[in-house]
Amino acid sequence: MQKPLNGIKIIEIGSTIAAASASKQFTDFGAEVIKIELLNGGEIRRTPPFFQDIPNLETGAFHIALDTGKKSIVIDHLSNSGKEIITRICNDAQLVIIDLPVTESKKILNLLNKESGPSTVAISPHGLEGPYSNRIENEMSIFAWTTRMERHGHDGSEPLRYGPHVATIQIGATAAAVGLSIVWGHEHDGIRRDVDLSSVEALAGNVDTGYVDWVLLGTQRKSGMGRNTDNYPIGNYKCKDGYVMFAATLGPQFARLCEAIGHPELINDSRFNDPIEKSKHFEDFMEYLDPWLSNRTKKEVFKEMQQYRVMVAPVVNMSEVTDDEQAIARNSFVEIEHSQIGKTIIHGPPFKIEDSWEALPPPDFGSSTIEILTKLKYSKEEQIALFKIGAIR
Amino acid sequence: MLNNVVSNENRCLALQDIKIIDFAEVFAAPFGISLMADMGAEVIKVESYPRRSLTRPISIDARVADGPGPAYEKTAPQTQGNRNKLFLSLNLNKKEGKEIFTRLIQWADIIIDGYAAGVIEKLGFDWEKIHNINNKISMLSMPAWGVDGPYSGYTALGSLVEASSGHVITRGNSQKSTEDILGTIQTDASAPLEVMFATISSMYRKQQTGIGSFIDLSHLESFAWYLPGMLSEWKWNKRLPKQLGNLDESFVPHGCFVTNNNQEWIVIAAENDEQWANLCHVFLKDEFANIKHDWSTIQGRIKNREKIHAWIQQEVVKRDRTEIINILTSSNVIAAPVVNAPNLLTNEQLTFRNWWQSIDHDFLGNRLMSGFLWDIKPDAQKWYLPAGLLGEHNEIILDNLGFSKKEIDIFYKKQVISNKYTE
Repeated sequence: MQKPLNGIKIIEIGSTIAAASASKQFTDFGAEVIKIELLNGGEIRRTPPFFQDIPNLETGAFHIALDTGKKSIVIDHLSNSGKEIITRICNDAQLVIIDLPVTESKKILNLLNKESGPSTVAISPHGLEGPYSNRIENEMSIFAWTTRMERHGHDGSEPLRYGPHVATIQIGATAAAVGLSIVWGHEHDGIRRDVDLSSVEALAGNVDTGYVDWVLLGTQRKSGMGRNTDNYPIGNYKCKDGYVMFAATLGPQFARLCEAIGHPELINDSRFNDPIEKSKHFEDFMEYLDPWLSNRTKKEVFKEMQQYRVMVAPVVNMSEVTDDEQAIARNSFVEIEHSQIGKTIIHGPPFKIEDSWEALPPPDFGSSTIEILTKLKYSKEEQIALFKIGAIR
Repeated sequence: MLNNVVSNENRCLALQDIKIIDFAEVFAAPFGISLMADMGAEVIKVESYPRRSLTRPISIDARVADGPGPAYEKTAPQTQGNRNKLFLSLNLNKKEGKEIFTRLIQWADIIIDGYAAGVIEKLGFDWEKIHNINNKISMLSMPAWGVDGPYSGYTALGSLVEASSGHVITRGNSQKSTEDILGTIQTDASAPLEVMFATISSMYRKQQTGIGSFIDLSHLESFAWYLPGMLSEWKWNKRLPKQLGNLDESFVPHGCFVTNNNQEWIVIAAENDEQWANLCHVFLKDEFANIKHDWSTIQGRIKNREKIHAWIQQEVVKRDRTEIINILTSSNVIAAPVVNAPNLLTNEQLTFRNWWQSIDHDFLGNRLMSGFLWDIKPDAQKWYLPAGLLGEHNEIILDNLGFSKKEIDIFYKKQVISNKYTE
């Protein structure tokens, strides 16, 4: 069966983790993705970890997982000769996703055909115009601008970012979602659209921020869902072999939890059924919950409590995720064959539509440069000249 | 039917030919559907009646804004996650409710089901039934751990899904215990993007096959692929990801520092020798960037991470936050304030880009809401409808589905539809 995005051609420029994450969604669901790479391989190929800890443009984890199924052409995007090639490649596509320093992105976007050319998504820290548009940022500083970092810290100690590159990949996934929308739109209403995607706006406009709570409620809460001794149980609780996370504070959830631990009498106990009284009796409640948890593994807690429809999950680490029975049953991880390291495991599809997703191996650096130039009818003489002046690799 | 409520003039209509039933609650699915509504998709949100969503409390609690009107019209997640939709309240336990739902299924291109696995089936609408009613409709189902497997039917919020991805355990501060790791709703921010991508992918599939398809979106899997580095670090090198906090293994400095007002933090990073030299220049220590100095190279900076961070902290704590950010950013150093919600309003870049959205709501009044995730030209997105009141568009929707005024009155009397929760 055809894959849903067969026939769509996407160009990815910038060699960043954000841009690679964006175009990965397209290629795995059937689109053709040409990755125009920087001469030095860029962020995506240079970010650790590497296979066997040996730095190498082909064996970084982010490149292997996020560049699946793409074609790679390496071009000096700063040279006029390189820009001419980029323009020809892009004008033949439905969508260009670009993530370069703003001045460089604008130069390339200005060269594209505004009538019959591709739709575009330009990723930048603050947007293409405005007083901050040329600021140099990274994932941490972008995150700091969004309110999410401020919420993610304890009073008196430093606010924290999330795991490395999580916010960046969210920015890439945002670019993918709007990118596919404008490709669809162009096909159906004939309007070619340009998206100016500010990373700060992409993160601050989504949920998981503090602004809406503040503007509606006047409160500035630390990140929700953390451990709370006023209203409980919520957050991480120790059990026999690690931790489980609860979100079982509300009436029906709390009642089901009381039943699950064999103490249904607590549902109507005056210490726990009134919000003010409940906030004074956390320690009392732990006298019931703690012994129950400490006799069970996190998996046992998870399964037993879920039978009572209590919201609880095991807090797992990376050594546990691929062997998890749910992951095995759903094929949540897949194996790909890499040109240098052989078989390796990556995460499977973000969603499943029958026969629609496949992760093919990532391309070696510049492995399609000559093929693409030849297809665009660059002569042998031109290809050699481009190689000699360093405009391609 | 959106035409009855809002004008098409000057708004983005890229997705105008996609008709969506929003059969979902709380955050991820409703927000993802609003992202498509922002771009022209026509959305009918079906809210359960008389049962209430978690985001529709009957009495005042910490999530409810002040002001007139019922508590269930004023919570933050309900307001943030439901712009630009038409609102229908429906009792699906009644046969008339099922008839209305059947007509909606005939109308729509996709139904997005955000409930735990098994809920919609118990109401009599499994995928086979839906597909029989309209073989062109697609259905996206997004239980926490997916529609099948041993955990299907298990229930969770986004924070718990994140716990089972392997991310939570890496987020904490290494000085504190696992119990102190805060919860986030990161997966409620990532899943909406996949809801959008999946919906449009199913529309492409329908163009190929002529029929709708079933989308199985595990909330967990829609986020898990954000963690390729952590997965490979374990699979290849048998190392569990560290709790790095704000540190970066390859860049020094890379951290968070407190300014002279001990409530105000900033982040600073130098990702190469040039940015490091710029930073040293700002703090009048050009010699730290001289090749004769240990700290001038990344090799030296990695070895001296703690000393360098201590030196920067000493410099930063002497200064006012705005002043130091202005100096550092104008010198091409990576630096940003760690902003809280009120600070966001003073971000001159967001103001320059007209990011904020002024919204009028019957009970919340006029509010300045956070803006869109992207800026589109030539046709802009608009926040044309605030989150709907319960059953606000019942009549318009049912009229468009072919029900008479008399039938609609009977639906109200029989409590098939309503615009008020009573308990």
